Amino acid sequence: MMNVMTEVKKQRNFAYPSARGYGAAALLLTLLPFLLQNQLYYLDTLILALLWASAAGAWNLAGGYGGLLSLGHAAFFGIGAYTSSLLFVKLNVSPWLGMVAGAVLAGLMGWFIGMITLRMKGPFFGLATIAISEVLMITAVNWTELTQGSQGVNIPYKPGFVNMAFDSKIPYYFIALAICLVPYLLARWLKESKFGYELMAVRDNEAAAQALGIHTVRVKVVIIAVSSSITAMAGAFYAQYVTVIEPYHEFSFSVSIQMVLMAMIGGLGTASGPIFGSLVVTGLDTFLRDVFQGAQGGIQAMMYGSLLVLVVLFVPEGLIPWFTRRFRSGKGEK
Amino acid sequence: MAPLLTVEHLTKRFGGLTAVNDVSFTVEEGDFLGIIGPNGAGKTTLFNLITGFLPPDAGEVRFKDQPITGWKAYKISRLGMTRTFQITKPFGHLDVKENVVVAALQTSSTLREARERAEGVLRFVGLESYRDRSITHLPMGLKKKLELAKALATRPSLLFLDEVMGGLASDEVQDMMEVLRKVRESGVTLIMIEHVLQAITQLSERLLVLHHGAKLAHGSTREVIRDPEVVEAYLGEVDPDAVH
Ligand SMILES: Nc1ncnc2c1ncn2[C@@H]1O[C@H](COP(=O)(O)OP(=O)(O)O)[C@@H](O)[C@H]1O
Ligand SMILES: [Mg+2]
Repeated sequence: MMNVMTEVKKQRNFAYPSARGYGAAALLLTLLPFLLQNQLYYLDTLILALLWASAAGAWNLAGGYGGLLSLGHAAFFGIGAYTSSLLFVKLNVSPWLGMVAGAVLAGLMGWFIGMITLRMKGPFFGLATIAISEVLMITAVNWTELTQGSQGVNIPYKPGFVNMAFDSKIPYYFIALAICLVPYLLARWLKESKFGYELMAVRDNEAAAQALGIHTVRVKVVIIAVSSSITAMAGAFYAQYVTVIEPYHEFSFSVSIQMVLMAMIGGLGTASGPIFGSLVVTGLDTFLRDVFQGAQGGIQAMMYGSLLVLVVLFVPEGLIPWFTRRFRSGKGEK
Repeated sequence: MAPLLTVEHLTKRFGGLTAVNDVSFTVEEGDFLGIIGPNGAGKTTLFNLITGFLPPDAGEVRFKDQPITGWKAYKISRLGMTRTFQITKPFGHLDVKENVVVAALQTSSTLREARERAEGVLRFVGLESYRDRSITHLPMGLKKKLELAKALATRPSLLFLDEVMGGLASDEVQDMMEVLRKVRESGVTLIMIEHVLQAITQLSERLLVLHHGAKLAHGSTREVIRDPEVVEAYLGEVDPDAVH
């Protein structure tokens, strides 16, 4: 009987706070950059955390809600970064438009990969995403007239809103926050929409979803296109923020894995999971860079490895679902 | 008027094995057809061929005179032909009610409407007190009911049930039979594969017996269970007087 009682009790859910919770969060998020104005180091970490939260959140839409385990989302991140940077550097197109162009291109690429591989059973989709990011990396390295090859693209500093370049870090913070909200709000919408339920059904059992009348290939292709587009927006913003992009980083496997890890650590298929995952990973990353200046590459890889092992061992469902379970109480709303 | 379902010369081979061999039959609106036969007779494969989960090597399937052979499963489902799976296939990360909501959404215009209808279906099959339960620890009897609830929530006109009583205790079988009688009364045409012979002979008016992929017998339940060939093969234990 007790079992049934606890099962039936509604849980207070950290992923779905109350109206008051939203107000407090909105206030905090608005004030935070001003509080950190004189601690640029922390503000920078926060901006990067929001940036990676956007990419991880975009990955989570397909990976967490749709079960489409892309291991090459760096492809879309890089498409976003290169499209907006090259348009700006070569043709002086505003990075805002470049961001849209990158999102459209990446969306088409995602749609294309999906159309080809998602009809087949098996690991083709995950493998194809890796292959595409490798191909794009090689292209970016070798097409030197366009991309300056492995030197990368430097974005000239011409401050102004149209150029998405600013003297202060605060505007960057708000742009990153806005991009981060896109996958977050979409994820929330998935739990309240026909498409979202169809997506989760496809993830959990494709044959059963088809038996109920769900066009499973269409659902998967749509979500991968959306996820790719948002990842490209994060990539375009990244390029503007760090002002230099390199093929060996932007299209790298480690960027792909970073998105997967952040989503997994925070909680697959939860709206706020990738944000928490990114805060944890980016925070640790910055901390370790501080402590072990210099040999970061190896340290970073070790950290990702250890984090993954810890999460899989102790909180396999991710931090957000874990917290939700720990602090479950009788009175909260769902 | 054309039968609701027409199956003609349906054949499926897996390598050297002919799992379904030249099977033909028709189902009229309002029928309750039982399909029996030993393990490996090709019953599930026959369902897979009709509902679009496998392409047949030969033969034709028509729904109200419309050829649907080779159609995708989701399209066939949208016509009103829904199936359940012998090995239940719940959506593991959704709770009981959400599982049914997914199904109800396919024939609802809003999520709110789908939630209301899901609630109704849960009551209909007797799962309402389990609505918030996670799938993970759901006992077999409830999983089978959920499988049925999902199919019903799509509002099928023709429902294919693949061993919905498999693995159930005898009181659960009685319970399931009651639910199926109600489904029948609500006007749904049923085709049911079942191993629990006592149950299927009480429920269905017609029986189709499959043997090594081929049709061994087909007719009224009364006739089929007295067919000496069938009796010899599988029906030794059925009491002919307890029949529909
Ligand atoms: N996808 C498949 N590939 C190869 N053989 C199959 C496949 N599905 C079923 N079979 C074989 O076809 C025969 C009929 O199986 P099935 O239709 O599941 O029988 P039933 O449901 O009557 O127990 C069995 O011998 C089974 O092993
Ligand atoms: Mg079977």
